[in-house]
Amino acid sequence: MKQSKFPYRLSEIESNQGILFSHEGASPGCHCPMHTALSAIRNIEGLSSLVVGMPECSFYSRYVMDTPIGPNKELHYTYVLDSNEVVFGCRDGLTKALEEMERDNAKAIVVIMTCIPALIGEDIAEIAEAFCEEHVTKAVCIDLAHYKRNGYEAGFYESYQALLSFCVKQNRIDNQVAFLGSCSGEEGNFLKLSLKNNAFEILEINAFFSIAEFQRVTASRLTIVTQIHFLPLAKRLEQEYHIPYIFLAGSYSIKAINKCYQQIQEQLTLSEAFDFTSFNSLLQKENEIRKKFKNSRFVITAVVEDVLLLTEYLCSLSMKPCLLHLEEYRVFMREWKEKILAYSVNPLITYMVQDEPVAKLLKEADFLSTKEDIRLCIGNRFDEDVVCIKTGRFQVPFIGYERTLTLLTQMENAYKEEAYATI
Amino acid sequence: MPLYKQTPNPSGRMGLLWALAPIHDAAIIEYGSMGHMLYANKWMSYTGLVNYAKMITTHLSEKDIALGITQRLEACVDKVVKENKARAIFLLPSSVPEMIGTDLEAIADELQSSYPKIPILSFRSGNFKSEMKQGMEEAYDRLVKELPNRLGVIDSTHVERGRKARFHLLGSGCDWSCFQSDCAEIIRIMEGAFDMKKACVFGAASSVKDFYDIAGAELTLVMREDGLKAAKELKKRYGIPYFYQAPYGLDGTLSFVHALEEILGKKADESFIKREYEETTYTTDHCKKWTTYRKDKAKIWVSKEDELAKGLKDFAIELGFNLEKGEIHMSDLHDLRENFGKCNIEIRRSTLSNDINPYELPFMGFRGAMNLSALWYQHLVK
Repeated sequence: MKQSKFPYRLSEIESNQGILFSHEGASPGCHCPMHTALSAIRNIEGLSSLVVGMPECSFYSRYVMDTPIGPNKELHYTYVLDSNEVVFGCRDGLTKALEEMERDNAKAIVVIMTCIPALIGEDIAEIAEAFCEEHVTKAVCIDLAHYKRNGYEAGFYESYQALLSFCVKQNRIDNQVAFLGSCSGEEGNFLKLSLKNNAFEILEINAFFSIAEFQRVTASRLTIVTQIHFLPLAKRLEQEYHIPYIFLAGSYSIKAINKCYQQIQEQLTLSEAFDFTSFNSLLQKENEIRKKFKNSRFVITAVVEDVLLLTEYLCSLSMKPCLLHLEEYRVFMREWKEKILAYSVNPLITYMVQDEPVAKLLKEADFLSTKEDIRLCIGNRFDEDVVCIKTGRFQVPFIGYERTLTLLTQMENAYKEEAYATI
Repeated sequence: MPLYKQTPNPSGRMGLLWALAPIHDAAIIEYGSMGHMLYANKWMSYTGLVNYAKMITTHLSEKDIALGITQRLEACVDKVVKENKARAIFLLPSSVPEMIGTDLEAIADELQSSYPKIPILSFRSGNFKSEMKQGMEEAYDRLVKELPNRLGVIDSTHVERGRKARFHLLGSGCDWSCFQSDCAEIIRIMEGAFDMKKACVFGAASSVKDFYDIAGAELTLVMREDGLKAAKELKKRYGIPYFYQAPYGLDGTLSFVHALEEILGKKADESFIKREYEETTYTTDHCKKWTTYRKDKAKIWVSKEDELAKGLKDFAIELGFNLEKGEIHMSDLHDLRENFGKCNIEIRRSTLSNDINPYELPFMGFRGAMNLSALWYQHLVK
């Protein structure tokens, strides 16, 4: 643990190990990545799971997988290491367990490795690989030891990425476009309709899908990533299957969104550009917000899955980040970190384990009131004078211009609420 | 092969936590991965306990593990002490520190010398073999052995006298559905029958403050085997006699009262017992009649083989039921999904439980007998 009283600043963050807690203890704490992995897997038809860990992992996993057999005969079993296996490893037992799951008709199994098997260095990934070579049922391991990070976002990243192990190379379908993540709202529906009108077939991999649907992804001509949790998957699809991707979820600014849509048009050789109604509304709203929030300071204490991307956008509106709750730092986030630092700002990075940041931390973060400027908080309200988008987990369910417009509208509403409260 | 298709048995760590958490003015600090404590808190929030201990976790990182750094734990204890958040601190073992050999006991001793005004206890049942029973047993035993010493309670001569006789209640736990109302029923019976007040109630609602009076009780009642070790320690240390029986059913409760008459050397209040008997037989007689009318439906299956199961089975036989599957099934909700009867009654808590009512009807005592008779009767007359 760091000797300093305060967390590190963004420029110092190179891995999850650099993200320090906001308080001495977490009370009651945050979920582990096993929880989110199970949440993701629970919604995938035809996918079974095997949690490998201690009694706690097994017992409490039933809060997510409340039944051992899913609606489509998926199996959700658990494997509890006994005291011998903690010392001598669990290879034989685990292989037998996977064989038993195969006998019970599991076709695709995600083996979730938790803290203790990771700590004893058991190579569960290799055990799963060896099992696949001799059996029809396929198994893949994901390493979700909680001590390697603070947060639970890894559960989503790793689970979706692991699904590629159940795919095989297929012939390219030239008119298939895959959306990785939610594509709802007016703009999302318009985009899908436009593509359909141009004779494209849409494959949506969102919260609920089946393994059979997922296996069709590898035949896509293009993937459009609308949620950050699917980004590592899209990168691997590009690397292993040469399927280009457009990271639409990575764009908040008008310029960046324009570029994404232009790239989609080019990749799919569409003759006409997209004409979204939300574009003009956003143009107007962005100007208003830019004026209103210019030189304001902000903190983000809520769980925001793309917090660095959001911060970069707010910096582009001349807002100054002071303190950010960062769930997980992954290598591909370095690019966004550099972009934020280029605005000559360097916020404190912490992992919020209690609702309210302490005054000392806010002072160090330069977020205390000066009574002149606006201060914005995305998270739980901890100060009456702060413009606050009150939320524990912040996520806008739309895409492109509509997503940014919704964000800015929420900021405007929070500003109005604060102004009325002051009157 | 430790493959579980259903839910595995709770661990020793869970037993510790469930036994300690009802002490509402204590803080339980876990040095370990963070996710466990969040789930533990979720569990406690659906037990119907309005107040329970503050649950804190330090989490830990690869660096802490590799270098054996325990500074997070020390900082956390310091914070709890300085902010005066608790009257006692319990350090909970966890699988990762157990694996790397963190000496929690030594850390607790060091911390105790740094903060002499607040009791700091560590526990051991976080290892890979301990089961819930061992965890609960250790928790109660250590509370009896260590907490009074750390609070400065020396022996019974230091405790105020000249007040109503008191009793400790040991061993009901939040893995049983009606643990709070069962305790409340025992307390009601003891007050009504023997004019005795509760002292420490282990495993249900209690406080660190209660332990200042630990030596001043006349009796310890033990509901479950998990509490026997602590009860023996209370006897050894303070000369407090103990009695081990979970009073289920009318016969069971009456025999419980008669046994206490012998131990305490005084008769139970006759008018109280008479009134309770009349009320209870009103419902049990209805149920008894219907078990003869509907022999085909008078079948009960109760899961497991502990005091709860034994008590319910004995009472069912007393009312004329057969112990068979197919009609009334009593277990936890996971088990009841697998062993579905025509009437399913939750008697143990699981991750599917959502109890938010602290004043549910009990299973123990006279009112427990009434509650069970009424529940079973409803099935018989349907």
